[in-house]
Amino acid sequence: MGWGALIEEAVSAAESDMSRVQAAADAIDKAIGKARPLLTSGTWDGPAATSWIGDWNGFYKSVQSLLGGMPGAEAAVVSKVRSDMEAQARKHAGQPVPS
Amino acid sequence: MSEVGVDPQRVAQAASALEELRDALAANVPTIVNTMSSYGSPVNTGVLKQAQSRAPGDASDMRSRARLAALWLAQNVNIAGQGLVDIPWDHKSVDAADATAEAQALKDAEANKDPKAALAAIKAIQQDMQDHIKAGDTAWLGAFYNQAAPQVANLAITLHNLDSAGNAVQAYNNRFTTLTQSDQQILATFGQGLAAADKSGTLTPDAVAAIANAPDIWSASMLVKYGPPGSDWATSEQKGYGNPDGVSLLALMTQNLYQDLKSGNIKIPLGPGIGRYGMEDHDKLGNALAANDPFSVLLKADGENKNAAWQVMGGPDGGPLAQMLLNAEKGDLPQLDGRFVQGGPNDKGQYPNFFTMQPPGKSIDPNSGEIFLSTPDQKALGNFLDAATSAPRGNSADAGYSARAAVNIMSNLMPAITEDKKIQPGYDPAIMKAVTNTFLRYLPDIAKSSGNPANITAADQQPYDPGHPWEISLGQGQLSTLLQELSADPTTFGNLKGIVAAKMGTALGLQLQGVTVNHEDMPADLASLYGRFVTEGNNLTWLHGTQQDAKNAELNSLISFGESEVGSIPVIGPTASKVLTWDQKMKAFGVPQIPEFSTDNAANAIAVGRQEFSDTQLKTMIPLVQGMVQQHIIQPDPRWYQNGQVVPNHAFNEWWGENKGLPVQDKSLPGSQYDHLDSWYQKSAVWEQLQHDQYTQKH
Repeated sequence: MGWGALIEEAVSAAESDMSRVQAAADAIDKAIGKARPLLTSGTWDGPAATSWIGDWNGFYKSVQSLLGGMPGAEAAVVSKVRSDMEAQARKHAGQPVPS
Repeated sequence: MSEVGVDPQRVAQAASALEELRDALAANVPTIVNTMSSYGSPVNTGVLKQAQSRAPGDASDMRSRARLAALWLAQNVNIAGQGLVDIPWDHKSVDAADATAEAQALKDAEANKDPKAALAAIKAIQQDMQDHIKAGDTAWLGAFYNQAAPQVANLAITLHNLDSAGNAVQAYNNRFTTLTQSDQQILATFGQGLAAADKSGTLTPDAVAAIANAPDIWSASMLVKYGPPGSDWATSEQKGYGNPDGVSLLALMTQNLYQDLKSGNIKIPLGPGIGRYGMEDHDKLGNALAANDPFSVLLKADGENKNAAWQVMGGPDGGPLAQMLLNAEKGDLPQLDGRFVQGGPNDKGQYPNFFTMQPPGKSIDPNSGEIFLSTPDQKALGNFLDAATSAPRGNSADAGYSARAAVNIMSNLMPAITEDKKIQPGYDPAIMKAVTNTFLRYLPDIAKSSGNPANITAADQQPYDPGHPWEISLGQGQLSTLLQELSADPTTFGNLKGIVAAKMGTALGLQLQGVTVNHEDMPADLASLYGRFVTEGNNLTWLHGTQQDAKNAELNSLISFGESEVGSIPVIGPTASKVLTWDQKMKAFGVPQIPEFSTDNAANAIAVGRQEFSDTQLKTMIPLVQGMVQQHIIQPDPRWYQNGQVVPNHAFNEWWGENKGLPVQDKSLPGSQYDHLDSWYQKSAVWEQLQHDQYTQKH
């Protein structure tokens, strides 16, 4: 196996891992989205509930904000794997590829 | 308390959605956090971990609100119009209101004429309870049981009746079934919750009484049968009316079970809707009834709980119970706890599908259907009896229960079984273990009863000496029966003889050092007890085992019962103050339970010893030298004293030959009175009622 194939293999593994991460993020986001419409004034009426839902919504907005930023973080991971591997290849040019 | 108007249906949907979110977070957060971390990603996943942490609480609270809203809607509580119900919002208030609503729901379910709806309601309560048990929510559990105790006690018979009313297949194949698998699971949950509430101390005396005094004690006992082990239940309760001493719920249930047995108030239901049994059903029917014997259920749990066992056997019914469980009632067969009796046929010739438990000694109506003898599980009974006398000795209330339990047990033993002039124990090995352990726990008292014959059997605490411990005395008839029963197995006989002899050596060693037990002559008392074993042994021919087994067991226990078991008794001060405290006395002479001897080591030592000495010499020398070593009268030689034990080898023989003239002072007597070691050996042989066996060195 040459350096090129090795780089592609590492990038492919990272892409696969990031795909699993995105699937996990989607599952959480979907569950939040399913709960949110039920946590409204149509379900209950009273200041204690209103206060609670305010807190809940605020917290899960920050969760969804993180989840919304995951594709960018995942792309950065894949990109870094590629650049790291290419740097290794340049550094060890002419040497046997590690098995 | 802030209340919120909620739509029960939408709150239930919200609870489901939050449960889905909780599960999604649990399943996926680790994947995101661990994977991103493994690549060194700078993304901050802290908020995801926070979400995973708070989601279970959110889901659980919302489920409680949904459950409460549904219950209140059904119960017409706080209806706010437009399909809304006003409920409290905060966790604590919701929990308290939910427990009350669930208690009402159980009451409604038990009164519901629709069997399917009733069972569904009970299962919904079970599910809510499982959540609270899982969360360790003893406040909720206590609140629930304090309001629903009568219905909980009645739950098993309710479930059985719901099966009969159409929830289970009334098939012929179910004719031995008391409770379906589903019923058993429900009872397991309710039993687990009850035990948790009980152990947490949150049950009120009224709730305890409602369970213990249940009109149907069989039904209440099924909570124990399918619930957790007895060790998971409380060992005491709050004091209250009907329970002035605050004994445990398990003990109260057992006491009431016995009262209900005497009044013929125990019913065992079988087979939903089916009460017809043929001759071919006899064995299975007997097994089904035995599996539902509430005595076996409660004795097992009491034994596991320990406190319950001694509260029962040392309580007001301890004597009559011991008579029933160990002896015979009114000339009836021994060890019965009753008869299962099917009632007579009705005017259509149909027999009822339940059996009444009738007490032993009571005549049975000749028009009855099937009749089965009932004997409680002997292993459970043995463990129960063993636990009953196991409270640490002293002057505590627990020690008093165990002392009275010991007296009740020993007073009601039957003589050993004699067949063709051969003897064997009259009881199951589990019961014999309990009797043997009781004998050892009360060895100093029993020795005293032997040396100073008492006329009565009793447990006493000196009324003018509050620090004085509970002690027992045995009348001579009871002592004889006890010793005969214990001697009916050659190994037990030999072991106990060895232990008594070892204790006698300890007593003699203490006496020689001038240490005494207040107003007692322990060496003489133990010698008297040893002598009674010898007398028993002279008359015994065992059905199982031989004299040689007994001899080996005695030497085994003598050799093994070394310093590690007995320990030296440090007594500081002039001779005049050398009186053992009670604790020291128990340390020196009490044995908590049958010791586990290393038979291989002892067997080797016996084999070596028999090359050097006769058995009679060994029986006398070993306890004598062991007692003197313990009290530092003799400096042991490591060639024959190893791991705190006398090894009767050639070196010991040589040492004895050289030291038999050693002068040993008896500091218990006034002045300086000395006797040679050999002379103490001869005196010991006389005390042990062994023939004078003049020591002569074999080699």
